[in-house]
Amino acid sequence: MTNLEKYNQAFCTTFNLEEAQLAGLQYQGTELWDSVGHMGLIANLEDAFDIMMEMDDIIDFSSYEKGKELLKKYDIVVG
Amino acid sequence: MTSLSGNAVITGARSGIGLAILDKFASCGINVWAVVHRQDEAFLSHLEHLQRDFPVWIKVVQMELSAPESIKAGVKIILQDKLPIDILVNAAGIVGENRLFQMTKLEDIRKVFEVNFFAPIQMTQLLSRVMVRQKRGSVINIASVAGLDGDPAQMEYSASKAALICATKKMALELGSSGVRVNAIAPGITETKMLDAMDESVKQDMVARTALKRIGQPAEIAELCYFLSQKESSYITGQTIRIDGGLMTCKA
Repeated sequence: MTNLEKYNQAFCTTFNLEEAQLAGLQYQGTELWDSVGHMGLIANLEDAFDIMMEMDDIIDFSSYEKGKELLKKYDIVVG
Repeated sequence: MTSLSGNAVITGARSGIGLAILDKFASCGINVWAVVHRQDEAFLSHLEHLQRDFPVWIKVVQMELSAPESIKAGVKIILQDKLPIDILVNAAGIVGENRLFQMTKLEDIRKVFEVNFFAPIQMTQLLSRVMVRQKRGSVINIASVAGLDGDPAQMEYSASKAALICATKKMALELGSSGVRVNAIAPGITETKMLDAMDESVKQDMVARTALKRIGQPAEIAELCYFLSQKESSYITGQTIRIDGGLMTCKA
């Protein structure tokens, strides 16, 4: 599985979405992406990429695109 | 009572209540990451005995609980094992000196808060993510009756424990829907090294005010902790449970 596939799967699983709905997605932009859902997303991403995200990054993780940028800090390049 | 046979993280596991909890968990088949500030031969030998007597592993993880970076590094070591984490017991705690609050430096108050409040918060923040992923877990914060009733001698200690009690409710509310329970235990006067820091007259007064007229034992606290860690307490969360021998505000 590629990093992009893992990344997308974390979003789709957490928020019950299709891949086609992910581009441009923002925090609270879909029903399940509330604060509780956000932590679920972080948990799934940490699990998928075997990382432990910093609190600052968890707070800054404001969109689908922003998340890709933040993951670079953990040497995860999402295509 | 059947054992969960799960995995637990216990801070302050080298002595006092933390060690009693470690002993109880090991005897019930629960594996433990024993978080300690420092280790010594006697402690390591005790762990060897436990691992020989019971079918468990015990891993020592050194952390400086007043240093967030040290906590982060220690938690990374625990997570590297890639094992489920079923229980977190935040048992480590320190007391300040007995003195007037008017004569207490802010840095000394902060030092107590770092270990008694911020460390449990950080440990729970980091490890509850695993529990949320698992959809199960039990966090037990060792608070104190001082956090509920106040303490004439220990402002920073009782204030930090009161903060921990309030945080326990918030954490329980937030993590409950993910299957993670968070409770606190508020021991009264208990036979630990911490008791040495207590003024003798305060100690005698507290014992006199207990219905049972004696000091509690760490093993008694460990029994309650074990109960809160298991499925037998599956509908209990957000609570602070006193275990104080029937401590009253006035003498019987």
